[in-house]
Amino acid sequence: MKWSLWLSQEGVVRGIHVTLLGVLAAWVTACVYCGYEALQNRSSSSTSIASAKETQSRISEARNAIKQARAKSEPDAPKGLAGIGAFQGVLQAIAAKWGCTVTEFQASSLQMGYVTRFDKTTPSTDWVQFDAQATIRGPAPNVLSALFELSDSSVPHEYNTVEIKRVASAAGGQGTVAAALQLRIVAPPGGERQ
Amino acid sequence: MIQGNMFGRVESKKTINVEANLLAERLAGRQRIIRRAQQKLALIGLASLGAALTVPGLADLRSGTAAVAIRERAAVQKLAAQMRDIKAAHEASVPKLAERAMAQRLRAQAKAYLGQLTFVLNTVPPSVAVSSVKSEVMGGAATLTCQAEAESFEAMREFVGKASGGPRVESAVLVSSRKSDQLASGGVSFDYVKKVVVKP
Repeated sequence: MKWSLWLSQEGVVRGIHVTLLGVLAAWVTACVYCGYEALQNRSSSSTSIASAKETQSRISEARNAIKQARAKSEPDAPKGLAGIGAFQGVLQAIAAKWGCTVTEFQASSLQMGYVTRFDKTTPSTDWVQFDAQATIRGPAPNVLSALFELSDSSVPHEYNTVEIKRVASAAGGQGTVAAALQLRIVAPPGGERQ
Repeated sequence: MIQGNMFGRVESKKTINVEANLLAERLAGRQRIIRRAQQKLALIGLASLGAALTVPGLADLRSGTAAVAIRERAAVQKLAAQMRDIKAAHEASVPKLAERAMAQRLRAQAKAYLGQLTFVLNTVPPSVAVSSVKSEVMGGAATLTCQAEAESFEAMREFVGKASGGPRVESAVLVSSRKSDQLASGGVSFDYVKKVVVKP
């Protein structure tokens, strides 16, 4: 009876109404806050995961690059003018190995920026080139073998022209030829003057 | 005694108890207020129950995702620190790798070029003697000019047919031919030009 009397008061009803609104507001606010925070955290996690994957892949690439750079698979190309001396040495050695003779070798010490003839556009690089010409004389198959081995050498070069002329015939059909090479010795910048 | 009025109707004995009516109305009004209050109390109860059921779950979700976010951020920072550690070594390796790539490219194109030259020389039959072969590279294409003597017209045709094959041929032309008895009577002297792509 007392409860009914208390409940029937307008002030109490208003209080109950305000309490209801407060409870509803608190509920909604808690839901919105927690939901928003959860979404924010998920978004942040996704960004972090993507960033971690990217960084991981860059680390792998960098490690591979370092590994490859440290590998002693091939000697470094001689730098600057050192390339001329190195090329001449390699040419003489290879020619001798194949029983051929280098009858002529000339190179210009004038250093120019590398421009390829093997494409219409030169890749962007700071490498330099030196004009050179050489003649190798010997049996035709040996001269060609020497040229192929020269291509594999540690001194990069690029051909302008190769002219192979028969200079003497042999009974077996294997004549002596002279291969006149006009080429450019290509080298990374730097190095010391010879 | 009959009580009546001038219309002959019996006068009603009903009376209105004003005090009792006011009390009933008041009681009904109070009941309405109590019902409304009870409904609101019930709603408060439902809302509290709903909040008790949903808010802890959402709070757990929030704290769980926050923990994951912190863990992922820590992992990113750890990886960034690793990246910083190897950055100097990586930067030092980049020019070296570029240098090797360049050297490899030059080697590959020199081999491709010599391969084209060798292809032509390998197609020379015994009845043909090549006096000179000149090959010039320009703009990614190599022009091979061949001067040769053949024992017969057929031998020349055979050489030209074989030499004109091979990979990446742009054109192959027998530029000139004239009678020459240098190798055999009825022989031919000829110039042959082949253009091939040597672009890597």
